[in-house]
Amino acid sequence: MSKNDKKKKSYLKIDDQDEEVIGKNRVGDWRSFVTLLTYAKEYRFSFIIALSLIGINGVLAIMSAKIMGPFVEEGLIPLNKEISSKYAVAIIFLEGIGLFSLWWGRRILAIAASKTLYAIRERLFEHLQVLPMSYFDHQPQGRVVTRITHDVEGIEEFFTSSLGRLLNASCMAIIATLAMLQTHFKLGLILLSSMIPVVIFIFLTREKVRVVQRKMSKFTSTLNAKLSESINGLEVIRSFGLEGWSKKNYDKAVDDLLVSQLTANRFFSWTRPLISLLCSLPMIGLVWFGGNMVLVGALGIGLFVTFVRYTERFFMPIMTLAREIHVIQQAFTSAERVASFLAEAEEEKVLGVDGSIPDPREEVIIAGELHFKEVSMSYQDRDELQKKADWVLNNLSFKISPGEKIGLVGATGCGKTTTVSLLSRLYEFQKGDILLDGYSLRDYKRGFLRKQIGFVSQEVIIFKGSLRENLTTESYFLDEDILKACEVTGFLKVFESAGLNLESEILEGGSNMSIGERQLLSLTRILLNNPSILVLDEATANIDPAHEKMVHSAVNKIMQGRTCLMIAHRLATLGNCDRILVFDRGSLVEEGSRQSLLEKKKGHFYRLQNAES
Amino acid sequence: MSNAKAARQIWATFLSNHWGSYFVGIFAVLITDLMQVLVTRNLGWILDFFSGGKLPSWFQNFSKQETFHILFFILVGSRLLAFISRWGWRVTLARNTHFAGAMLKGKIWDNVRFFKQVDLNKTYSKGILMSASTSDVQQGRFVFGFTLVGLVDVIFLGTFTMATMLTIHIPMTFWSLGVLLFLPFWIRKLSDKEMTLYRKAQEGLGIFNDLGSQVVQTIRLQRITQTGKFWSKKLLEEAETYRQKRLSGVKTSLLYIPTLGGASIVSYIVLFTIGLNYTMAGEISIGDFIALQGLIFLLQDPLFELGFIISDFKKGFTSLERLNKIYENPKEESLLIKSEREIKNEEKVLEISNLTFCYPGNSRKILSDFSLTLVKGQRLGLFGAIGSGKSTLVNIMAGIERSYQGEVLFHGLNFNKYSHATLRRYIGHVPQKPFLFAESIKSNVSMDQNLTETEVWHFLEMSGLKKDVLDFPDQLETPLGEWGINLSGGQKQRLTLARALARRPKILFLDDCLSAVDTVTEESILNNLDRELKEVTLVWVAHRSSTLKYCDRILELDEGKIV
Repeated sequence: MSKNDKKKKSYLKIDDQDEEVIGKNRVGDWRSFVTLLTYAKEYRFSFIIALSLIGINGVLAIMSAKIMGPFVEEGLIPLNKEISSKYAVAIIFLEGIGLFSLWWGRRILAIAASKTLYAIRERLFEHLQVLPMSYFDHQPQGRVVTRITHDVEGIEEFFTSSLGRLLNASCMAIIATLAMLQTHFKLGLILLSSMIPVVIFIFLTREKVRVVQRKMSKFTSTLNAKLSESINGLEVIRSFGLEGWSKKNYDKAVDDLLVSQLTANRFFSWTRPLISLLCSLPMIGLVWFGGNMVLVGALGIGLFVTFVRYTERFFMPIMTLAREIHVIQQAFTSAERVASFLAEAEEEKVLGVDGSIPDPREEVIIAGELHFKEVSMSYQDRDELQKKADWVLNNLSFKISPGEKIGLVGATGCGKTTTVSLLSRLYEFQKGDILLDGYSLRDYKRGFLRKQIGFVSQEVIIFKGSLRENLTTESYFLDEDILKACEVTGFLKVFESAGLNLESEILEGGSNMSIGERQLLSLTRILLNNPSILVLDEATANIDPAHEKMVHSAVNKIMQGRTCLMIAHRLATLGNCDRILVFDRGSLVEEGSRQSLLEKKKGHFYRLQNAES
Repeated sequence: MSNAKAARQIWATFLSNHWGSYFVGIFAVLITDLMQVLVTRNLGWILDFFSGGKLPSWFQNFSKQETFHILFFILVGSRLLAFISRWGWRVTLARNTHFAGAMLKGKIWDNVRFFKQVDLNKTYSKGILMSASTSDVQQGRFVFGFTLVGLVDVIFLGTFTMATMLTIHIPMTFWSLGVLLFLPFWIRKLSDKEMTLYRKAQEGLGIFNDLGSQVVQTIRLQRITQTGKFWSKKLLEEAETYRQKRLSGVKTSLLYIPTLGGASIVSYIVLFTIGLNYTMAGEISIGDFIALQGLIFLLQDPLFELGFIISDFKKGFTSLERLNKIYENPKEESLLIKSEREIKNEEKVLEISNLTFCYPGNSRKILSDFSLTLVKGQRLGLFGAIGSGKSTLVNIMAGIERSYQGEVLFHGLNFNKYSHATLRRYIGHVPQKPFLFAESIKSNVSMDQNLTETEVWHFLEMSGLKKDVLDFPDQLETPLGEWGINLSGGQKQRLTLARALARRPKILFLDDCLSAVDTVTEESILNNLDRELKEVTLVWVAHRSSTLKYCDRILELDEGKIV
């Protein structure tokens, strides 16, 4: 959209997903995660209840396993039916209650987790709206989109699926450990230490797991991007006969993914079975040490059975941990990125504290007088400026009276678009000042200022929703007011003849509307906003012939009584301006009426005009 | 051949082509299952051994100490063997699923590249193809491996467990099996429901993500027009819809907990009522009772898995059928024409007579009774308002659109007499909407050709982009696309022009391809083209007459007719 994109984008920040950077930021993982947990605060009671229920299940499960011993010793071996039945009922009862509390706990956890995720998303969207424009210029769109979508999903996957399993597994492990230590300290300690190898193994391979998973997901998205690109570009592929070439490229992407999958497969082929082998160490240890103890009479057979059951229950949690390790890692990485996105400086910090005009107690009407006083502006930050300044606007001065129609002219990259962006306070300027009705722009509230500027461009944003929603987002407008505005722009006629009304649903992107109709909608939108300054950026180019006249007359109506700035990439679109400002490399080189500029035979404007005719 | 049959054919062919690894893999699964049974049985023996129960007869020749050592050895040995056999099926069967996935994915583009534009617009939109390549392949590849593992598990583990149980106590075996038979049915139902809900949640996520990227893309305009809050509200609504969908999926997944737990409790009840009675009556030893307990839980696994397998097979083959439909979708005939005919270099390049064109299913004539002759080296200008049929005419003249009425002769012959490759080497086309690949500037210019840097610079210079590229830090290697540099509309258009020039076409169609370029630059590009491409036939399309000043013949189109 901006002609300066080229310049700004060359300063793209290094990708914080880049492998090199990620390694360095690892320390932040935990802290980031804790930061995100603050969003769970609101649901802390749910989390506590869920955790307690999951804990109860663990305790009950251990109790059930524990009475397995006396059940065998006191009930089965002496063949005592009464005692056996008593224990049997107890076991079924314990298992039943445990099951129910686990299920219920996990449900509560899932609900609370999904609400937490919603809260994080809400915070991200809020943040998106207060980040300065300069942030977006330095980031590729894809990355910002990834922050608010994919990265949150990484956390979501952990919160809604893994967290429950993990908590359950940990509860089980902790309770089983405690129970074993309490029952027979020495044997418990032996069993506990036999878990050490698997824990060490998981710890040692976690980095490799991360790399392997990351590679797969990277190549998966490369392949998806390739397919999407190939479909989008099929017309080009066909018109150059590149079918073979595109297949070669696509197959290469398939192959890259395959290689990464095979590498992962090779790795998991031995690590997964090894983990399950290592997880059986406690059972092996129990049989060896416990068995020998039983043989010498140091351990009762009942206790031995109990331990067998404990060990069985203990076996599962570690397997779970091993299987979930990459989800946990992914969640931590995502959490780190989301947290650092949230920590990005907001507009308030970059542009300074918001101004104080207008005072909420008084109504301020802006006449639309503009005064640029020796304004210099660069997209660079302070350090870059000191090294090698690259000014986009250089000592720019001009004055515009209220209601004047001004054309801004100049070659690509001359500073027209930047000048207009400064009016909306999208960027900070470094030198000079800009006055609106005699007050510095910095003294105005940014929200107020932006409302004062109506922006008409070729590109019209239309979203899926009612026509009313598309026209105004404010609820205080009566249908009457809206329809009146529609009548002024001529939009009313267009949508009525199409059989629509204010409540009619508009398709996404306005795909059921022509360019002209969309432009009429946008003009009505602006009229309802009632700005005092109007910026027109090629607003009437590329309109379908059926609506060309209507759009022109609507534009002329809206321009009345407002200060207008017309950015013209082509002189033909200038129309009837009072005055034309000719820009070249960030400076004002000529100004005057069209006629007077054409008279300067060697002037910039004269040359532009010649090139066009 | 029916679609279902064809899908099974894909599967069977793959299996028979890799029969060796499938043979080894299935053998490894068998060993794994065997070891799993042995572990449980062995645990029963160990408990029997300690509680003084009866051990199998072949233990009786050994001393107590020796027996203990043998039992311990079996425990360790079976675990070790299980480790090896698990590794074994992973490096064979699991590996094959990846090969199958790659094969399924490769075949998608292999076929889609020849699809008719109409099919791509209507039946196979990008979204559908993308989801085929991700979720259908993902689902389909399982039947080439993991589902087979499950199948073997179910059959052998089920049979083994049953057989072992039968040797211990026949009535108890039937009791246990009887009460657990609900599992496969219930699991299958649950798994299908879970899948449906998961898909819905994914769709919701897709919508949400689309909206999210739309919000990011339009952030500047939102800031200017102060509509950010409204967009955030929309996003939050979508986020909430998605949250609900996802949550209902998660809740369904959580139903596995009571299902599996319920099965355990039912098993306990059987064991503690009927089993206990048998034990009290002395029909079952205490060790056997413990072993039976383990076996019942072991029996749950195959029954549980059976449900998944039925569901997985069904879903897998449905996906394969969907994929096969893509593979067998009719292709654009003109792309597949086989012809060795070279283009004769005649004076008359194009001869169009009585050309009429309508879009299928639409009676409005885009072009009607149009006639035109184009000679070598000519500069033809086409001029007219939006919707006057210029682009359609260009597509027909370039041999891209062929469903017209009337006659179009390209060097004296119908386009269908030449192969696609021959025509495309000869004809260049620069569309109005620039499309670039997410690669470097250099590879966007050279595409499938091997161009030297000097050549690339030459074409960039001709299209007036050299100066811009020199300004980029990485120059020719500057990456494009979402993660690369963001070119302006005009720069993109100039790059697509350079790309077309680099193929040195004999006839070049320029479809309003400099509309976003400023006038000074445009003028110099037009001058370059006219000067350098003396031999090339040029067709210029524009809705501004200034672009057409180098043309020796200008046609104005209105409603598909020459004015």
